[in-house]
Amino acid sequence: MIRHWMRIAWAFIKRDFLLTISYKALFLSQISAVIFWAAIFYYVGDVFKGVSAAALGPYKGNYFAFLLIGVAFTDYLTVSLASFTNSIQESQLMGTLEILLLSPCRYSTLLISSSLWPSLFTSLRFLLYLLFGTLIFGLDIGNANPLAAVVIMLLSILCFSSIGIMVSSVTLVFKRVVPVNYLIGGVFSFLGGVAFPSEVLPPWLVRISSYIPLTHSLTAMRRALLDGYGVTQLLPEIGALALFAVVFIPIGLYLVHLAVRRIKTVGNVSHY
Amino acid sequence: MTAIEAVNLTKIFSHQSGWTSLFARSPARRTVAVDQLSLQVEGGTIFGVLGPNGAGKTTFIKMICSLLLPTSGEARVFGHDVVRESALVRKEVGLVTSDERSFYWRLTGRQNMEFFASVYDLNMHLMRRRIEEVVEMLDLKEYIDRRFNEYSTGIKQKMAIARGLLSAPRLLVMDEPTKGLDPLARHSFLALMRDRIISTMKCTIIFCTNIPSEAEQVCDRIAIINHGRIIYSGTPEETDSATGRHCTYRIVVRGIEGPELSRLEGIPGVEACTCQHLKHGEYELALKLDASKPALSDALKFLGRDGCEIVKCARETADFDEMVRDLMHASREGPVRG
Repeated sequence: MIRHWMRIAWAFIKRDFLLTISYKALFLSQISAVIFWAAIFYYVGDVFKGVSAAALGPYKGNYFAFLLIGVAFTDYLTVSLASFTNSIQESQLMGTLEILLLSPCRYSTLLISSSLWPSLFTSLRFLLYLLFGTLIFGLDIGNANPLAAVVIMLLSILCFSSIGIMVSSVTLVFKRVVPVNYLIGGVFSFLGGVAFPSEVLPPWLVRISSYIPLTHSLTAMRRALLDGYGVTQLLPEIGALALFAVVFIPIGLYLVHLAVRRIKTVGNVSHY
Repeated sequence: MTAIEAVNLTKIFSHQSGWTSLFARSPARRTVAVDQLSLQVEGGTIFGVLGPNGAGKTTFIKMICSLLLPTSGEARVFGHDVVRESALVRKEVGLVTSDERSFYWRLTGRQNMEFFASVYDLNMHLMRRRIEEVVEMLDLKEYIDRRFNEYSTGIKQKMAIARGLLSAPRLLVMDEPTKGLDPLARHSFLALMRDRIISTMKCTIIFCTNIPSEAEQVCDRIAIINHGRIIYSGTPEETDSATGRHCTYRIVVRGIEGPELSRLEGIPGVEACTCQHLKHGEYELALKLDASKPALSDALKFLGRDGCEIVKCARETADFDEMVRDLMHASREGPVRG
């Protein structure tokens, strides 16, 4: 079973890697854009240098580090929300959806496998953000706890993927990325503490933000990278993320199962 | 063994789309695409599904492939129910479509094959062996390492067959595989099917087409579908008796006089008899028989009784395309034979 899954996962990673590098200019521009964004974050951070902000206290007043990690890590959310729906839309447009649905593989396996390369590519970009931030702009992650960071990253991918899978079931039925995708991205980014600490929001919004996985992901990732928090110190965030994943991944997969059943009933598997 | 068994298989499409389709209470416009279709396909045969555009052929085969759920009725593929045991059905089926979009155009043929083989759960060793086998069988060696977008339509179609054969399925379903091919490419495609695929793979093949002569060339049995119903099922050769058309035999005889031959018209089932003198007492008869009555043996007995020698007897080949057209016209008044 694990071999079967590994084989399929590898096939999807290889396919998507080959397709990505076949568009060489796009691939290089996606990689090189990282350095320019890191520079933007550095100079925005420079504007606030020396400004005393209580909310930035836990981050030693370093707005550059706060912003870089926030924006770079939020890529995982953006990609997880988009990768499942993109993968479905692409296979609808390319006509491969029918062929994939005819394979003996479960559709959930195919769907999850199709998100692996986007997650790997996002990890590469995240590492580049940290690399350029450290080497060029003096980001200090000398105390980072890599194990805790990896655990937070994996749990965050699972959480964000569960939302992406739920949205993809709607794409399967309605053939278009529904506005809810953008709405979720916007609300999560606003409340999750991407560009500013959530604590500066009105108390009732702070309460709501604690129900959003991105809030826990970003808090934990910043603590793991900037303050060297270990897994045990991050247990509250890890618990929240794990709970979110355990509840919403099965719901997402069940919705996809219903969506596949619906398109097989309506007879519009290959429509787009 | 029975490869496919369909009993009263029905598919009704309801034309509502968007959000309304989830909550609508008012009845939607409905199209009966497949209407209580029953048929049986024996294992190891090539079964043609013929019919005009919109007849329900593709809907039928999609239900067989478990890509579409029937509204009612049942279908089994090698004993597996297409709804309840769809995972087992999918293991048995390979699909060849005429949709050239269904590949990754920026990858090479080999990269495409490797991806689909993995999805079909072939391990690395088996995958490489199967790819080499199908590439060899379909003469794709020259093209397999080129990008898919460099292929001609004919090569793309061969790639679609190669993909369908990768998992060595027991049932290969071909949905209008010659669509878009020029006459030459179509001819070589059918030759390839006859000479290589059928003899090498020894699987059951469902060959779906709207060109009757193609089905006649490669199929052991055919079913003609119109308006979602089977209007004829049998061998291509039996089609003429189902149409109620006349068939004509050309018989060269010796040792009998012309006027005697006109008495053949008195035999029941002989519609007309024309006679032409050839040379040295030889006559060629054109015997027009009612296809539904076996009058040929009576006619031959009549000739033999009068002591004439039968030099040659041949049946005039009927135009298969025309017969299928006749069947479809006749089906407007009800099924011809189901």
